[in-house]
Amino acid sequence: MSKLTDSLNKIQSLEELSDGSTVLHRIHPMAKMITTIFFLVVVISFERHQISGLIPFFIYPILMMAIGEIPYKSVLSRLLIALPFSFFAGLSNPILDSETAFILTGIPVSYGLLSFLSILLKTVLTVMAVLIMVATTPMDQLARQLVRIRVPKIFVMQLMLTVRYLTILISEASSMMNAYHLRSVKQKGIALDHMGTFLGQLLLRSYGRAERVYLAMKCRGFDGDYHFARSHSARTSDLIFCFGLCTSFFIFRWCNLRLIIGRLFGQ
Amino acid sequence: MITIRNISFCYPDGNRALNNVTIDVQKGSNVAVVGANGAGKSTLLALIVGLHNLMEGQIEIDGKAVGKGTLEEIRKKVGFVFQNPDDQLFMARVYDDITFGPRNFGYPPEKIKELADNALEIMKIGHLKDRAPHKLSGGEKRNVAIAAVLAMAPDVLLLDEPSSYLDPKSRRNFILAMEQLPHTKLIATHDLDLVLDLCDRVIIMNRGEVVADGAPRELFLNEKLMECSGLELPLSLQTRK
Repeated sequence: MSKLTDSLNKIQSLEELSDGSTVLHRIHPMAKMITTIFFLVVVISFERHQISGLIPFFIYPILMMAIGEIPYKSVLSRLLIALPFSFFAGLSNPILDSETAFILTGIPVSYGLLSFLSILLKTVLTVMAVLIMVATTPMDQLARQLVRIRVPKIFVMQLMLTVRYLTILISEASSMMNAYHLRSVKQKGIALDHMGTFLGQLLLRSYGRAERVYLAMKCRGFDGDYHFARSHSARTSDLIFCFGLCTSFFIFRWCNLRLIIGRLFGQ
Repeated sequence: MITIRNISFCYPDGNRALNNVTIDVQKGSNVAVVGANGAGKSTLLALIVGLHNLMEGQIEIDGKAVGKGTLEEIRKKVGFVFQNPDDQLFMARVYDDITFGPRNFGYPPEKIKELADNALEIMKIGHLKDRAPHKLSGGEKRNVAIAAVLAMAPDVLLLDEPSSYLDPKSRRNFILAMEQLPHTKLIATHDLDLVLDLCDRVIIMNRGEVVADGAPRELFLNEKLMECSGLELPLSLQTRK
C-alpha cells in the first residue's frame, strides 16, 4: 500500500468511527457541539500560569473516549500532529519570563515554564475534545449544526466539499505515484526533473476530476445549496448530557475543588 | 419521450463530436448507442442532460426542450450514470451518496429513505450502505452509482458504459435489474452482448453521425456495416454466424 493511500485511510478512519452506535454516538450532534464549545471556552479561560486547575479537565476526554469506544491510539496519534505547533509557540516563554514562581523540591519553577506547560496542556485538552466530537458525530451532521448556529452556509459548504475533495485528490495522486514507481523501479521518490510535470499533471487531472464530480452533482439536482441530512430531534437525555457536563466544567473552573476536597478530608 | 433533432456539437479544442444527429426514443424502450471510441456516444448522453451547451439542433424530453431554464426539471426526469463511477461518488458513506439526489430535490425524510432503500434493493447492495465509496471495488462502485441515480426516481435512465468494471455475475445481475425497470433507457456501450440481451433497438454511431438504427441482431449481422463502424460481431453471435 502506498504511503498516500495509507494517509487517506488514516484521514478516513476518524470519520468512520463516527458511524458507531455507542451512547455517545447517539447523543444529539448539537448537544455534543455546545458541550465541546463550552469545554474549549472554559479551558482557554484559565490564566496562563494556572496549571493545577486544568488537570481535572482530563477526566472529560478520558471518560468520553471510554464511553464512545474511541481507540486511544487514533486520538493520540492525531494529537501528536498538533502538539509541535504549540510546543514551538511556547518554547520561548521559559527564557523570556524566568522569574521564579515557586520552588518545587528545591528546584525553582519559573512563570515562563508554567505558561509553557499551560499552553501544552490547553492544546492537548482542546484538540482531544474536538477529535472526540469528530469521532462520534458524522461530518454532515456537524456541518448541519454549524449552519444552525448561524455559521455562514458558504463557509460550511466549503468545509464539507474540501473534506470530500481531499479523498479524491489523494486517490488521484496515489494512482499517479503508483504508475510512476512501477515504471521507475530504482527510484525511491519522484525525481526532481519530473516533479514539475508530475505536479502539473496532478493539478490538471484533479481540476478535470473536480469538474466531472461537479457535473455529476449537478445531474443529481445540486444547485449550490448543500442539503444536509436531518438528525433526530433532541431528547431529554441530550439535554441532561449537555447541561450536566457544562455545569461540571463550570464547577471545575470556578470552584476551588482542591480546597473543597482538602476540607472534606481534613474534617 | 426523447426527441433529438439535427444536433451538432463541437468541443472547444475544435473536435467535432456530433454532426447533425436525429434520434427519437419511445417511452419505456431500451435503446443502445454503440460505436467505436470517439464516435460521440458519451457526448450525446451529456447533451441530453445539458452538461454541454447545445450548439445546433434541439433536444426535447417529454416535449420539454433542454435549455438553461428547464435543466432542473430535465435532470429530475433524466438520471445519468457516468462512465467512471469515481466521478459520481464523493460522499463519505454509500447511503449518503444514494440520498444526495433525493435530498437536493427537497423530498421529505420518509420518502428519501424509501427511495434509497428501494434503490439499494434493486441493485442488491444493501450490505454496502455503510461503507466508504472509495474503499469499494470497481464493480461495487458501479452498482452504487446506478443505485444513486435510481434513488432519484427518474423516468429516463442514461447509462454510459454501465457494464464496465462489472464481473460476469454482477453484469448478469445488472441486466436482470435493468430488465425489470420500466424506465426508458438509453445505453452507450461497447458491450454488444449486453445490447443483445437488454435492448430492442440499437443506434450505431461513427465519427459523430448516426450510421444505422434498427434491431440489434439484424444490424450486428451486417458485416460491412460493423467493420465500417469500427465494431466486431458480438461473441454470442460468432458461433451462429
